[in-house]
Amino acid sequence: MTGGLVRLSPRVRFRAVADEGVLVQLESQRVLVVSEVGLHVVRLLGSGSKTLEELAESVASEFEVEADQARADIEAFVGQLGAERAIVIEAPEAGGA
Amino acid sequence: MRSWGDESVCLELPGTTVLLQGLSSGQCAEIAQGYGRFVRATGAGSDCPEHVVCTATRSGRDLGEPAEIFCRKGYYVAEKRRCRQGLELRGFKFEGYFDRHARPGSAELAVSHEPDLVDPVVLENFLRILVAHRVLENGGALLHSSGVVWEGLAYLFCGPSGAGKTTLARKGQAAGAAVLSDDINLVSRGEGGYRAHRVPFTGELGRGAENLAGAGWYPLGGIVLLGQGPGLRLELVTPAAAVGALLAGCPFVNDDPEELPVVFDVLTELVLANPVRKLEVGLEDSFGAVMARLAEVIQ
Repeated sequence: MTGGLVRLSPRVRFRAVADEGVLVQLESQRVLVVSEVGLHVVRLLGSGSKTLEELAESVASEFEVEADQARADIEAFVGQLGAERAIVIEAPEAGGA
Repeated sequence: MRSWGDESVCLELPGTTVLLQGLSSGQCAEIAQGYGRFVRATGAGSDCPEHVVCTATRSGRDLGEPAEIFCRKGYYVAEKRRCRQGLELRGFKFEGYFDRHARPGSAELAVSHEPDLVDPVVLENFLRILVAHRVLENGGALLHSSGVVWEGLAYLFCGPSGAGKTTLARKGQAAGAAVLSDDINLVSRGEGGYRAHRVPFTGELGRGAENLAGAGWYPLGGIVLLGQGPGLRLELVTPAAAVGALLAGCPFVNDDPEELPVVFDVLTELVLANPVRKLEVGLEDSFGAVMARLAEVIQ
């Protein structure tokens, strides 16, 4: 998925509750509760397609996390969202230099 | 579509009144008997914005599909499809329509055979869906839960199947508590706080509440996420975890993208006003011990 784009699935709705977030996947009716950091990522994914690097940079900046740690956390979290069909992964464009 | 007759009956349900019209005299009598305490004089609530006029009709086609086709993950689930201003419904032996925005509300319930209309699987499930949508507008919600009245307050024990809701309700009943329902309960926002209401769809144990005196509702004492464990263990959960758990048990509306913003609002306000706790109960724990443990933390 490196270089690909990720965005929130149109079949997901979410809401911030206090400093955490609640997501519901409409097809599976699975409900996920995410942390403050998770909510930040979900908001980013809801605002448009993002690369993992963009997500990690934002998390590292907002939450004062080391870049490597942020990248590892993002990969794990996005993997979890993928398993719940809460995101859409867009393959990187073929070709290029 | 043709109606079954000229009779009508008015049901006063929490959050809405429903005038069922177009009934045969037999259908009317059976509904009046089955819904006893909820029956009001025809015309009651007609000036209330939550009033719904539901016309019973004869379906032009055979609605005898097997019940299995409406089974999802072991539960009966009527199919919903958004249309016009409302929802088209198709369930076991019925089809219907419900306009979610009209004031007064309008609905239609069609069956193929006269007795099908008063079959609890038909009318009860139709009313559940209707009430689940209407009550949102009053800041309330239907919740899968056991509702138990203890010392004048209603406690809702929420959780998925197997969490122990019915077991705890049975223990409560044996200890002298009234069970509102061991299946589904309705909470609404009222003057002075939240309330838990009796509903006509009471589950296995709720019929005992038919004999309770009172206004049909009780002040909400607390909401508990129930689970099984080696013994009593109680912990506060975060508002988001509480909303997530209640949302999973908020039937008929938690898969509706149009209703979800309101469902989120309702549940968020509910859990902020009533901090939710997770309670693990062991097989040997008595109802008295459970309530004593809750009383330590819930004022």
